[in-house]
Amino acid sequence: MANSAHQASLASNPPGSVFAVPRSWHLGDCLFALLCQSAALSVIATFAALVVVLFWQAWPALHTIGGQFFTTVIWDPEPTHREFGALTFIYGTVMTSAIAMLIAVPLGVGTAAFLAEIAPAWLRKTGSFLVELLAAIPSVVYGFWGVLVLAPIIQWVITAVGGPNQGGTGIFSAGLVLSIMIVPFVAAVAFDVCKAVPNSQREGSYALGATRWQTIWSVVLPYARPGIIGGCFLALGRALGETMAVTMLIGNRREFSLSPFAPGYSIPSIIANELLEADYELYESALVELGLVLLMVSIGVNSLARLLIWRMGRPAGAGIVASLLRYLRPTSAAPQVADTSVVPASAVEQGMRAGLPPGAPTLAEGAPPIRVAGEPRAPAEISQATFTLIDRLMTGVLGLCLAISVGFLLFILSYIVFRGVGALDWNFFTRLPEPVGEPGGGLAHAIVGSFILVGLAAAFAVPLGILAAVYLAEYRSAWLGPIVRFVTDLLTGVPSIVVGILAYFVIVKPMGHFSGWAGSFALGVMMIPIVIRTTEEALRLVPASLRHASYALGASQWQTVLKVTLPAALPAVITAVFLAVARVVGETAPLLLTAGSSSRHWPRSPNDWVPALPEFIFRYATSASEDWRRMGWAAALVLLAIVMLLSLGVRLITGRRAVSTRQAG
Amino acid sequence: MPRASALVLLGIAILSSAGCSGCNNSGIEHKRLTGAGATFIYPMMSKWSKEYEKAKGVKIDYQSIGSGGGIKQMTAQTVDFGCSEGPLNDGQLKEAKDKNGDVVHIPLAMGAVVPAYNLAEVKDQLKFTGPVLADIFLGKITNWNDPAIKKLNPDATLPETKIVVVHRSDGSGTTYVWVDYLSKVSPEWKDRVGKGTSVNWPIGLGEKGNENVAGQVKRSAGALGYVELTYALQNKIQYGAVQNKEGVFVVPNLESVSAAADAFLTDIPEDLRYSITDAPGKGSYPISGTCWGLAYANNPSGKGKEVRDFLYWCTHDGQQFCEALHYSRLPTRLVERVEKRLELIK
Repeated sequence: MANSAHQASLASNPPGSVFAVPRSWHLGDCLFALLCQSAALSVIATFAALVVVLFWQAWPALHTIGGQFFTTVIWDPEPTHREFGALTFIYGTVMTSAIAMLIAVPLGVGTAAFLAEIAPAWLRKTGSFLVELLAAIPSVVYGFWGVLVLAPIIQWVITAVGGPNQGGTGIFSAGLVLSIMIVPFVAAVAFDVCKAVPNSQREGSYALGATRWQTIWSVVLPYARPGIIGGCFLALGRALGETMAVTMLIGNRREFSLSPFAPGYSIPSIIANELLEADYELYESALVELGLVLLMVSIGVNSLARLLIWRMGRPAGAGIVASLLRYLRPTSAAPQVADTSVVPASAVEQGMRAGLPPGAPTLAEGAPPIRVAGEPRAPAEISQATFTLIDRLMTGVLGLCLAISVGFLLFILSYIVFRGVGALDWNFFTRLPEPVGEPGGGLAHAIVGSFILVGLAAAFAVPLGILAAVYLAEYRSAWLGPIVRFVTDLLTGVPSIVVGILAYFVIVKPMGHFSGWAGSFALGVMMIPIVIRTTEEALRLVPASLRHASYALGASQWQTVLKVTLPAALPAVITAVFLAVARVVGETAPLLLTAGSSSRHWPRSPNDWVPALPEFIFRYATSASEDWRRMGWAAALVLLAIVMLLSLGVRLITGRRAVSTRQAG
Repeated sequence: MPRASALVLLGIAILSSAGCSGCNNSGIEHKRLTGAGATFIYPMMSKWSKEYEKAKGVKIDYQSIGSGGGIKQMTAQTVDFGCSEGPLNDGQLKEAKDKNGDVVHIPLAMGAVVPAYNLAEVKDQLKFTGPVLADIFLGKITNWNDPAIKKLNPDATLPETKIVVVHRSDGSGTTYVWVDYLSKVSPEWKDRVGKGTSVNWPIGLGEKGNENVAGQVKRSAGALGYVELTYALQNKIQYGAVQNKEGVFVVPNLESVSAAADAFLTDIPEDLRYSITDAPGKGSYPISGTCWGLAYANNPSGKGKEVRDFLYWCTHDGQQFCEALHYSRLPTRLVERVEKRLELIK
């Protein structure tokens, strides 16, 4: 949704066109421009640091192990063995993602198609909102739910078909939970691009007599294909880098096994499990090399996604109705010669696959059917009723996709609410955790700690992001702008565990201890791109007339930005902050490596260990202690409530207006 | 505009101040120590942390990331002290010495690593021998009703279920104790797998930390894993008796661990890096381990005294909390030697 609007505004506002107004440079303008430019540059610097630091730290492994790293399966870090073959982890990562995509893509696209094309307005509104909520659930909560609810069900099925007992964990289980996690990403993007398909396309298709399903399948989806594929790649990037849910479900087994049902291991999981205990250089370096692989793959996948979505902004699919017309011309234009016209069987097959009736019976009443070479059965036997039936059937299937996606959300939500409410009490919000086995503890310190971590992250990420966005939207440098925008997009897709590695080497190691600073830094790096993108879009939607008015009154550029443009875009800026906070408040993986988040005391200063709610969910979720699991459910509920409130807040703000011109006065 | 920026600032301020309202409820500046390592000792450490704060006003932050992580983070000085049930090997000691000097090993508590299983249909405590456990973990014994297990437990109704082997995925001292024992009793294990805080498991599911191994065993019918005794007891997981060197099947408990420690007391080397697995003596539980506190002799962060005080308290006043959590106290004669080693920490 965001993306297409972004592209649209890019297209309508070529760089520099708005500010043709000549004006003299003031000192304030110079300084402000410099400030914005350095914010934009710092985004590039952050990304460069990510690449450079990982390369630098991975160098010993790259140098020593070489290509063997990717081709062997033995990972034996014992100091006397030192064998590092990463194939098991690469395979686990690829397989879990592949399974997730296989399930999530049809489900997500189906959900989106139903919402965009079939659902009545009320359902479209609530449905898309629910899907967005699903996207906001933190991965650690998915993992928690997966381990305690989904895994036993999977094991039950495995046992029923005579499979081995593995506690319901394994590559398939991890892939399944991943798929539930990424369905909303696929659905959200697909929904946006479906809505972006011009109505003329649909009208053209209906005019040709196509049913609704035929229109969706052969007109809307093909038209939207580049965008949908782009969305799928974004979801893939997310799946490849997912740490917590996978770690909790994949079985963490280093032994290589081809079976998708066997326990395995993924790249992010092994980094999370072993980076802190890698006790010699080569070992640590090999783990960083895995992080580097992950980073490179995510950069590749994201670049491809952006490319495809960007192509969507251009009229790539415009020829579809035209070519359909061409294909159908014999029947519609000259029915009297249709009898003799011979359509190649392959073309008819294509038409059938596309779901269009070869004879297009509704087109010209009583038009004789096309005779197909080498096809004994006349296509006319496929009656109108059959197509109506297929249409109904497929409408049902699409509806089912929505029901499944939303069903999962309701299942997860209600289960967590059910377990969480039972476990929540006043102590949870006021007390510190008690030692194992002593009842009555709480996680008050972790709630506070999470606020500190996210607050500090926001304190540097939000101003930085807004300034960079101002630079992109208001200064429109022809060469730096696109680079910053591209880097921002890449940064969005960097797996959180990789950001954790950066924070570990840049802050934890030089400072010599875990700290809230390091955790906040990691979270902030993840917030920056979200703030930039959302803010930039909003700034671009501010009408140029407002700026012109401001200049006409004699305001300088920085005054205009601060007093006119930003206030006008304020609701969207707040949305950006909410979105970014919602994204990182449930983030666990980077904290494992940085913040000392398992602290059991009130956080004292960011220089010390700072506890965080998600880490306690992770620790409690997988433990065997009944007390702890109860606390885990309560913590999951609280975290979920925070994230949901933020999402609702975003909805309320954007629901009103993305840009309010009223406040600009 | 001022209104707008004020709003944004307010938002940030609320976020960060809400965070800080609970930062420090008392005005006194408390000292803090950080530690990381063994999950084996984590239940004990969380109790000690609470009691030590009450007694001395010093807060202890402990991250249970596994013994391997404890050794690494202590050596790298990311934490003030480490905890591990596997002592540093010579290579690690040398690496630490090159970085910052000698590392002192201080035994803190002893415990049993137990074979924990999940078999609802078996009511009596199962009996195991070292070689049988080794064969199960090597993948040679795959089903619960295998003759080798049946022979040891003639009265038990063993199901035909496959055994789900659960082991640690992280570098772990619990693993160290477990495989140290298996290496002593099974030559094949010694050749094929060996010992260490993290080994190449022939089969099984990996889980991070004692908590998660216990969690996995509890969730999966037919599972067999190894956990510290207290994890099995607190989570009400079944665990087995193991045959010791004298051929006696010994139930892991406080006494049988102490017996194992006593049996080895005279042979303990000067630097207190010892192993008490496969101990002689009729009453000794063979898979007993020690958790060591690890610290640099010359503490580079200047917290040497605080670390020494804390470790001293753990090995003295702190010992009274051991039994409640099913750890064995340090034998008195060992504590005397510990005091000498503690003097090295400055």
